[in-house]
Amino acid sequence: MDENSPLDPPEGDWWNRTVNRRETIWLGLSGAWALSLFGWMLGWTRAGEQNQIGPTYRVSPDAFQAKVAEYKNAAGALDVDGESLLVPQGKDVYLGALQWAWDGLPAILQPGETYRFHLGSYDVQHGLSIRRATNLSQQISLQVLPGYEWVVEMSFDDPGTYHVICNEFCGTGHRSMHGRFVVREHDPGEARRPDGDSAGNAAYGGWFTGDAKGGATENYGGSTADETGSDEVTVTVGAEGNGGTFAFDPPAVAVSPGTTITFEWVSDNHNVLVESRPDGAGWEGHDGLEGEGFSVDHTFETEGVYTYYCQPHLSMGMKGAVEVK
Amino acid sequence: MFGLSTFEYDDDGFRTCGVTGLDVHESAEDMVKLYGLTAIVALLIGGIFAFFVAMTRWELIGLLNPSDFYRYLSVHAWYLLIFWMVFMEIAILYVGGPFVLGRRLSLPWLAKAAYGLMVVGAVVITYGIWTQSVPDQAPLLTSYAPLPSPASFYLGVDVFLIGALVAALPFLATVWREQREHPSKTLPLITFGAFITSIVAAEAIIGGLVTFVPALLWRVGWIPHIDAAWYREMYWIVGHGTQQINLLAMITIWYFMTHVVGGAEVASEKVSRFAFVLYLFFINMGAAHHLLSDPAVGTVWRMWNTSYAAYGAVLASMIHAFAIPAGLEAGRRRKGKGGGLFGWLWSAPWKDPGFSATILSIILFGFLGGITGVMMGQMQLNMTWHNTLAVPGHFHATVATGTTLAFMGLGYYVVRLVFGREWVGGILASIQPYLYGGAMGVTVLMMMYLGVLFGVPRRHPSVMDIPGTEFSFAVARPFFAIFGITATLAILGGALFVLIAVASLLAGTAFTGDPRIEALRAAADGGDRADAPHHQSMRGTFIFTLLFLGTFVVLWALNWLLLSQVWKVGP
Amino acid sequence: MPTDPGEPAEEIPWPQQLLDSEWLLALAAVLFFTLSYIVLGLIDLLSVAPG
Repeated sequence: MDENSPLDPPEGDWWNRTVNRRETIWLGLSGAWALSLFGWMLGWTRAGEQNQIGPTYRVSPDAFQAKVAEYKNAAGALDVDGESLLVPQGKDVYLGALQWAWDGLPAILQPGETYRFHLGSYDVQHGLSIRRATNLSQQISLQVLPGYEWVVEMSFDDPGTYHVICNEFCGTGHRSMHGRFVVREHDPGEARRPDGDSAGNAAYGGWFTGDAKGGATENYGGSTADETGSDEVTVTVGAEGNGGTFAFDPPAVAVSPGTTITFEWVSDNHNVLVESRPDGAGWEGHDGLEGEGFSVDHTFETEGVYTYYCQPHLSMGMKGAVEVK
Repeated sequence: MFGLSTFEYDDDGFRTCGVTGLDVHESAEDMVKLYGLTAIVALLIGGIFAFFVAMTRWELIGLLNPSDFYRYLSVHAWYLLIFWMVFMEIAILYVGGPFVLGRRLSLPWLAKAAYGLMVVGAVVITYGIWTQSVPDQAPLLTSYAPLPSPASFYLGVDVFLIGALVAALPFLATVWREQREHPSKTLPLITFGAFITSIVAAEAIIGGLVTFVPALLWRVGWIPHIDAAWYREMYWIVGHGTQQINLLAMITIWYFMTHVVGGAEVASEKVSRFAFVLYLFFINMGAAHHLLSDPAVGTVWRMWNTSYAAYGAVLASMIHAFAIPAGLEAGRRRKGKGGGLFGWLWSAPWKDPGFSATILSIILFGFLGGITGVMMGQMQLNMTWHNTLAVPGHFHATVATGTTLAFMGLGYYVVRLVFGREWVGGILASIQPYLYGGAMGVTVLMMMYLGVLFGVPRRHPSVMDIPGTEFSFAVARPFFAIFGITATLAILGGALFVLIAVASLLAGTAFTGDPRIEALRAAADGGDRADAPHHQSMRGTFIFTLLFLGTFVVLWALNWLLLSQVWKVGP
Repeated sequence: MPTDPGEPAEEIPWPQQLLDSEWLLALAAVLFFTLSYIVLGLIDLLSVAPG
């Protein structure tokens, strides 16, 4: 039996066997390094400028979606290089992660200003990954969870474009989740109210504006497609619009009683929930989330206005209306 | 079992190993063969899928479309991170317990039942991944609720985990019985290491069941809601815990292989055992590494757990980092293989793939895997690593170089000492660990650069073509090219191992002993009792460990410097 | 080398006896982990304020 083999039991009192001097020194060095690592991490929360620390609140995905919609409604808009950027009205910036977009972007922020970022998800886990366009090494990632609102302060000294992607697998459209914000000096007084509250404001009781449930419907231009007299009418579900594939096309359509409307899905992850319908009308919409290629139809008999929306993309403004007259 | 071995047992079912001197019983050896060969099959499958994954992320090739990418990535992950690892680890438990103690395997029928459960679980998991379709998504390894995976997937995971837990019981029973018979005897260091491995494994697996049984019930509609933050906290017990099993098993193998093949001796029983106990208490706290950039969990919880209780487990790693080379140095010096500062190392059997794989495992794990793990486990540094390609970079360093090389090294000696076959391929066997280790090492470095310096995300089939925007990671293309080439070489290096191992089992000549190892054993037996390992100089090891610490400090400082250039985050 | 598996000739120091009591250590370790990681973490999750 080999006394010094790891395969054999050591005999007698092995506790009091001498430890090699260099091994003892190494133990000391390792212990000191361990304490340094711990102390540094603790110390950085005081002296360092990068700490992912902030309060968390329990908020249902629907409630968070509503908060973001309210925020977007109150926010201004600035045209920068032909693109409309959201201007937060105060220090709070809301970012909603959803399949598959960043709600609240694109936006413009003031350099050096401390913002409270409110992060949450409308559906599944997402990864908020931000980087500065001109220096990709300046990048961070934070986890965004449904059911939780995380408030993290951030301030950006370096002006420029910051690109946001999702780096937590969230389903088939994961790789298309991109958004951006611009950090640039701007005069908040120049920000205007976002589209959708001027033309057709009163139409359908303001359904397509940000004052109603959800976000403003950008793809509603104020007019209603006249299909009275048509036998077959199609409404495309998940068409391009509203910052992604978040549009009903046409958003507002008029038909004669007894017309069958076919709702045809052209992208994934949409449903049709009925917000309001005339008394006695029987339309239930379609609750289940469906994907490209799915279609369902309904024959509209009762006269009046029906308003509907897609639940996951409500805050993006995915709303529609059917007028039977 | 299998009829591939050249060894014979006596009437009691025992045989004595000519190389290690261990008394090996057939009941244990059959299970080591069964689990060990299954692990190699898993390695082969996982390796094939690795090729598809690597050739997709190298977008010049861009092999798979997005939905296939996630499916293949899931198979690659489960077969290598879980099946290759866990089947081999059960085999290692049966070596560390019954083989080293010279006992029969207790409850051998339970080992067979467990094997059946694990295989059934693995098959059902594969089925779930392969047949996944919308509304389910590919589970990857994490299957983060509330993104749904196929119900069969959750079921398969539960069955596999139960099987793995049951498989540990014969090992624990063997140790229990040994101690009932010899209550005042200390367990050999290898057995002690294997015991710690089994407890860390049990913690991890039970955490997995606490996660995946409710997840199954939720998926089939029996539970209405599953909280994302709770899921993450529980999941990572098994998610990171399974990797800690890898760490423990790997370190146990390091002690075993450096001794058997290199003539290492134990530098200090108490120091090494103390380090194993630090692991026992603290290592699984590292699950918190994955929640550092999360809402809900508090700062105190994050820092206490991510640091393994003020870096208690890092202290353990650093202890083993000294103790193992020191044991090799002291053992070889004592056997007359020393000479100067590093003579004990230059004279070591570098052509023996069991030895070279083990040493490469130690170096690559330490420098590439261990250091990066500690760095991205520092709460604030984590922000620059989280969900980037640097994360797979880290765990390919730890698992694909560290643990896999250690398992390959052990595998070479399972071929010789369990199956009694000599290696075929001559020089190919000698170079295989260098080819694999070198190529995978560079691959890992590329993944880390891409992740930390470019912020390239993980779990993305394409970052050069992001729908709806001009923005892309095109500047990182050269690094992806190097990654693609070295990943291919690494996969070939891995395939070479499987080829050599299987060919040796089927066609290798009978292994009749290794004269070099016999000479080492003779020198050990003939040594002066007063001339213990701690009397030997460990100056060569000391220089290596100082070099390691220096590298650690420099890389750590650079990472904090990089973080300090990010914008202001937090209060 | 003593070959008798009974009483050791020397007095065994308590740290060695502790390191030899791996079942006790295992139990203590599992309890510690349950408290430090699981329980403390759950307390954090359960005390998230409604928003």
